[in-house]
Amino acid sequence: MMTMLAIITGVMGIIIFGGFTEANYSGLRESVIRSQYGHMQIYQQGYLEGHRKEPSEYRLSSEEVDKYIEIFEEDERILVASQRVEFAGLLGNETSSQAAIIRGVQPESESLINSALTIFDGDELTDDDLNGVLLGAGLAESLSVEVGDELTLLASNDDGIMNAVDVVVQGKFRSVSTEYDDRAMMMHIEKAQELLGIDSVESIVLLLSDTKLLPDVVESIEQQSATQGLNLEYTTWDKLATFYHKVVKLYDGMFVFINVVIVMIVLISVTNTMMIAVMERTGEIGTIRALGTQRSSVIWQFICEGGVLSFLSALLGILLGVAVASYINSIGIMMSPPPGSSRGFPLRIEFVPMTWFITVSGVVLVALIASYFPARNASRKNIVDALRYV
Amino acid sequence: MKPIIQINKLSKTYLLGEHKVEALSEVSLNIHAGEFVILSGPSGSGKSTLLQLIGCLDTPTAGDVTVLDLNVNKASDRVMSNFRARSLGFVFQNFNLIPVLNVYENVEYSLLLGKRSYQKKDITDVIEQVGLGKFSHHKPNALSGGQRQRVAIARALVHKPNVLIADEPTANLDAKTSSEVLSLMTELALENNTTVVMSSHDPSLIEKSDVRQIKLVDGKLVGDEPRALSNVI
Ligand SMILES: Nc1ncnc2c1ncn2[C@@H]1O[C@H](COP(=O)(O)OP(=O)(O)OP(=O)(O)O)[C@@H](O)[C@H]1O
Ligand SMILES: [Mg+2]
Repeated sequence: MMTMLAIITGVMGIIIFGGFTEANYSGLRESVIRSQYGHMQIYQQGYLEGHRKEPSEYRLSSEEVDKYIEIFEEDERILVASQRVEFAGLLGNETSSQAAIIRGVQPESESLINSALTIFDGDELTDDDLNGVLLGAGLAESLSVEVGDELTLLASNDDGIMNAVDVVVQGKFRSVSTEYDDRAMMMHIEKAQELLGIDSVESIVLLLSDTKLLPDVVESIEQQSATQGLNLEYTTWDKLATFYHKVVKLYDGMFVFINVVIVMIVLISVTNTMMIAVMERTGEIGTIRALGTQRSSVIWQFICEGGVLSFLSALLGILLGVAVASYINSIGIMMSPPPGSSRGFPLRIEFVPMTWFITVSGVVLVALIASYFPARNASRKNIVDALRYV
Repeated sequence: MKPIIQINKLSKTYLLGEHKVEALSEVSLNIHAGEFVILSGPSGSGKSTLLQLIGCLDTPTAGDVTVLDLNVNKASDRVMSNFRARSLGFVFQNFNLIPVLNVYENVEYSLLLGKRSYQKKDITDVIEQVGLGKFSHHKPNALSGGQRQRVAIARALVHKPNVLIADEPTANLDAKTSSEVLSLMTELALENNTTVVMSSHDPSLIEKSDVRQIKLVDGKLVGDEPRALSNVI
C-alpha cells in the first residue's frame, strides 16, 4: 500500500513537473522565436563573421532580396519572410538623448514575428507609418517621452556622414527581455534605408508555421542555396537564444534530480514491500516448493508481482497526475517572471505522452530489479524451515 | 521386487547454535510399492525428520535415501523439485492450502506442476471423491479443518503419485473428523495403488488390516512389524 502510494506520488511528480518544464520550454521557445529571432535569419555570405567590423559590406542587395523572397513565398512552411536593417543611432529631443539599437522593419510582417511582443502604450506600426517608431519600455522611460512625442534620430551612413530624420513615437513595447527593452527601437525599414542611404537589407527573418519544421526548412534552403549558387548564410533561433538554453539546462537539471529521487524511492519501497511479502508468505513458499515448484518459478512469481504492482501504481499515478495537471491548467495560476524577463506567464502543464510511457517503463523496470533480490531470497528458503511457518 | 524406498544408515543432525541434535541415527529400512507404513513414536523421536528425507525436502547428514531411482543425497534442487511434483504427494498437519486459490485451483496446482496433460474432469472427479463437489469454488478459509484436509488429500493424489507422504495429517482435527479423513486417504491411496508413509501419534485410528508400523525412539528404529489385528478398531 505504502509502495503504491510512493509510486503514485512519484509518477505524479514526474508527470506534473515534466509537463510544467515542457510547457515552459515550449512557451519560452515560442516567445523567444516570436519576439526576437524568428525561426531563421538569412544573411549575406560572411555576415556572421564580418558584420561587426564592416556592417555595410555584408548586406543583401535588393536583387538578392527579391530572389530570396520569391523562393520563400513558394514554400508553404514559411509563414512570413520579413526584411530587417539593424544599426546603432542616437535618439533624442531638446532635453535628453540616448544611444539606441535601431531595427528597421517591414512593420506588418514584423508584427507577426513579434506576436510575443506587447505594445502596452500607443499603436502598432503599419506599413503606412513611415515616420512612426516603437520604443522599448526602458528606452522610452529614460527619454521620458510619451506616445505622440517627436524625436530626432541621428545615424551615420555608409560613408560615415551623419544624417538625421524626425520620427514620432507611435507606441511602446515590452519583449521577454528587459535588457533588450532598455535599448531597442523599431522603425519602418524604408525610413531606415533612407537614413542610411542604402537599398540593401541586413537580414531576412523567417517565421515558420511550426517550430518542428525548422530542420526540414533548413535542409531545403541549403539545398537550394547549393543548386542555385545563392550567396547566403543563415542562423537559427536556438543559436541566438542563449537565455533559452540556460533555462532549459536549469530545468533539465532539476528534472534529472527529481527522477533520481523517484528512482530511489521506488527502489527502496518496492524492495521493502517485496521483502515483507516474502516474509509473510514464507509458509506458502514452503508449501509450493514442497509440492515441487522450481526455484526459478518462485523468483518469477515474485518478480511478476512486483512488476504488476508497480505497473498499476504507475498507471494510477499517470491518471491522477493528468487529472491534477488539467485542474491546474483550468484554474490558470500566474507565475512570476523568470529571470531576465519582464512578464509573468500562466502556469501551464503540458501533456507529454512520451514522458508517461518512459516513466511507466522506467518505474516497472526499477521495480523488477528491486523485486529480484527478495524473490531470490524467497526461492532459496529451506523448504523444511519454511513449512513450519504455516 | 526392488523396494520403492531404500533407507540405509540414515542420520540427520541439526545444529542449534553450537548444540548438536541428532534427530535420526543410522536408520535402515526398505519400503515396497503398495505398502501402507505408519511411523509412530513419542514427540521428538524423528518422525517428521524421516518423512522430510523420504519426501526429498531435505538432505541427510549421513547415509542414503533412495526413492524410486532418485538418490536424495546426490540430486540437484531442480531434479528433486521435479521429482516431488511428479512422483510424490504430500499431506501436511496444517493442511497448507494456497489461500488465494479456490478448491479447484488448489487441486489443479498439483497437475500444473506435474507437467503432464490433464483434463478438467480429472480435477472435478477427485474433488467429488473427497466429497467437496459443492465447494469447488470456495476459498480454503471458507472451509472447515476436515474439509481443508480433504482438499489437501485431493491435491496430493490427483496426479497419481507413487508415494504419499503425510506427517500427522489428523493432528489438527477432532477424533471423528480424523477417522473420516484417514479412511478417505486410505481408500484413495489404495485405489491408486499409491505407497503411503505417514506419521501418527495414534496409529490405532487407521482402519486397515495390513498396516506396517514402524516405531522410532530418539531417532532410532525400535520396532518394525505388521500391526497386530487386535489394534484395529
Ligand atoms: N530444523 C530443526 N532444527 C533443529 N532441531 C530440529 C529441527 N527439526 C527437528 N529438530 C529436532 O530434531 C528432533 C526430531 O524432531 P522431529 O520433528 O523429527 O520429531 P517428531 O517425531 O516429528 O516429533 P513430533 O511428534 O513432536 O512432531 C527433535 O529433537 C527436534 O527438536
Ligand atoms: Mg513431527
